[in-house]
Amino acid sequence: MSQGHTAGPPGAPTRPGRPRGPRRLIALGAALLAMALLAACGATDDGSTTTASCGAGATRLTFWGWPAGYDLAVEEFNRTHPDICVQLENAGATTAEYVKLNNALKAGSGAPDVATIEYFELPSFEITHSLVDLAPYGVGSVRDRIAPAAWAQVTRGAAQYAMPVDLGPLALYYNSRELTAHHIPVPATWSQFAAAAATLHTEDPKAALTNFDAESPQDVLALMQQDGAFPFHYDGGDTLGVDFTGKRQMAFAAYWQKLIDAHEVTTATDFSPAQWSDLDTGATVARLSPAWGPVGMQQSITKTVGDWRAAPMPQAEAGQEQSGNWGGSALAVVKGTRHARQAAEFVKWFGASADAWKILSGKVAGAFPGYLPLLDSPAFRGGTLPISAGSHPNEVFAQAAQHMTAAQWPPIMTAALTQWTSTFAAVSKGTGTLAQAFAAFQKQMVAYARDQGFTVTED
Amino acid sequence: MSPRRRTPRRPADGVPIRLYGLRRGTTGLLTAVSALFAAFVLAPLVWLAINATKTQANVYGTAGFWFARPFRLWQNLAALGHDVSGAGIYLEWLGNTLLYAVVSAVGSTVLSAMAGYGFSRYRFRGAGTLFRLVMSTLLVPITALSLPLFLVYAKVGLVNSVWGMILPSVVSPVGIYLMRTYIDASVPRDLIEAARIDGAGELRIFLRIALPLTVPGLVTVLLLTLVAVWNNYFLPLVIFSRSSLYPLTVGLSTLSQAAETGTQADLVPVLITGGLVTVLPLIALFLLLERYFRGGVLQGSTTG
Repeated sequence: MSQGHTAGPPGAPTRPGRPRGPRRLIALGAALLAMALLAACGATDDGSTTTASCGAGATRLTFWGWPAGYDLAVEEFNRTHPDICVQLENAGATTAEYVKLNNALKAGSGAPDVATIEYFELPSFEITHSLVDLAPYGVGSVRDRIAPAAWAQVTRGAAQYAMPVDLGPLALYYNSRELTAHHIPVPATWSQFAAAAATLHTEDPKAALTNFDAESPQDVLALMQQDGAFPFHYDGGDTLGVDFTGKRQMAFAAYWQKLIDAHEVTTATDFSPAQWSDLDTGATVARLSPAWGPVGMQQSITKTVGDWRAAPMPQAEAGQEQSGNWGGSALAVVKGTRHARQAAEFVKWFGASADAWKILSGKVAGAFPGYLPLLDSPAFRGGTLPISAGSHPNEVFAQAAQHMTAAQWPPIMTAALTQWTSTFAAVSKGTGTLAQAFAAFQKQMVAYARDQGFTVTED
Repeated sequence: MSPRRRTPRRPADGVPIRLYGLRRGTTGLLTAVSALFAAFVLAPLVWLAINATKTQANVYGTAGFWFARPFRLWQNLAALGHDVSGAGIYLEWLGNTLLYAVVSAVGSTVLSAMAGYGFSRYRFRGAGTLFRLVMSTLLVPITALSLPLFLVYAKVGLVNSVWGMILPSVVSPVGIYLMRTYIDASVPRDLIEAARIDGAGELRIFLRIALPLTVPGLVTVLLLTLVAVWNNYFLPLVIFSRSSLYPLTVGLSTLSQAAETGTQADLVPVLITGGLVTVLPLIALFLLLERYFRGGVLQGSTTG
């Protein structure tokens, strides 16, 4: 009897428990559904608010863009242009957006009116005739307000395929306290740079002058451009020059390989925790930085804030003033838009108006201007950053922006970027040399370009 | 029913460990190995939890597995409610993921139960072929379908539509297979026959007899679909171009790109906090439904 009782409890709940199990489950399901529906209401509300803010009768433009602060600039445009209503959508950053844009163009629907496209990707869309020529819409009238290097990136002959926005000229960004401590003068030429790297490493075997991230195509190509060794030649049409194995390119490869082999520069990945901690502990004392670099770096270091100064890039020969460009983007009007005129008006305002640049160069966006009235203004050049204490890094970067040539990006950059990392990984691992990677990449790019129907020249 | 709760040194079936014939050294070694695996699995979660309390500079500059001042967890959590990066609002993505996952999971469970019951308990012409056809869809990787899927979606207006995400997620070949196997094993034919003789209609038999017997199976399918949709990256990446429609997976990757390419904002800790918040609901759900889920696995393996 008592045994029956003790055995009872485990068995007993089965009878009332049978309905209870599913019922509780149903209750849970209902609760989850209710939550989801609530969330759905929230989502649709939010989706419609951007639409609702458009005035009646205003022309609606869809604009794909990802950089921070673009939403603020769009708001300002909509406020000051009641007849046009731009809706910003974030379709992903860089390649993620390009894939979507390509898909939408193939599908013949779903493409935006205006899209943010980085300079290196413009030729890929240009060659598929996916971009609207802005020249007939009078956008060329702002030419004298745009840095020549930026303008050259978006034009081909008389045609203009996009409106330049920001730029990323390179400069040498160094830890002044460390260089002074080691009595190393700021290197003005690449041979002084190599000497400085050797001195530093001899004095402190754990220290390196900078990092060379072979796996970052943007970084390497910008440095090659600065060194007069840019490996692509393209001027529209079906002819493409690929030259990773020429004299200048091999000299470039040998120069950096020597520093890597001697451990005088590291192969740390750009923007990785390792790079930031190296820069902050003095293990790495300089960075070949794009103009937009310092503001981001400031958030990622603590101990050396205030010690960093900018100087022009080291040169092949003393007295030169060559810089390279890393990053920056333009706004293109996408073929198929029914409002090309309004879209052209928007991109013109975005890239070349004081109103837009007030926001784009502000605290949230922090874009480095290709817009000359700002780039040349004393207020911009005299700006300071906590990371550089009382100095004026923009002075150096703005100067560098004057000394850039436009890179001749090939229309096969999507494939190049995809292929790059796996080909160059051996360099950072130390199992291959930069020259070997260049030779391998040359073969891959030439084969790919021929496959795509280009006439390829290799010098 | 659960003596192990009172005497934790005994395994689930109540037999003391020494009676298995295991030596103390062996159990010690096995425990150490499991502890190592547990550490391996839990370390990233612990790292997320700790670094969600830091500033960006401290994420890079201080020891990864210990706290650092200032304590920024609340600010980082608050940032999830704002559009900090221009990429969109984390909370909105969380709401979207909840919507997609819950509606898809409930729909998929209902559909799988009905289809599984049909395949298991009805005989009709072409049943075998049809079932093999359903199973064969398992062999097509979704990645191969990206562009065709997008082109079809563009034609029928499912691009940038909530239904474009939910409809394909409701169809789950694995769910149908699981439910069929489960019903095969746990719903006796005799019981259904008896119910028919008693005059119950087919719908009534399905709802009142078959379904209550398959609760663990239903929960298994519900959880599997929920997790699959919760973690689905590829489909939403292809079909959505509006950040207000993104689920967490695509939203977080956009935020991550913004953190990499962005210049001003302190985005890395927000990203880490977002990652932490993303996994919490799944952990809670598993703890909540664990007994149904576990019951399902055990019953499925021992019955029939």
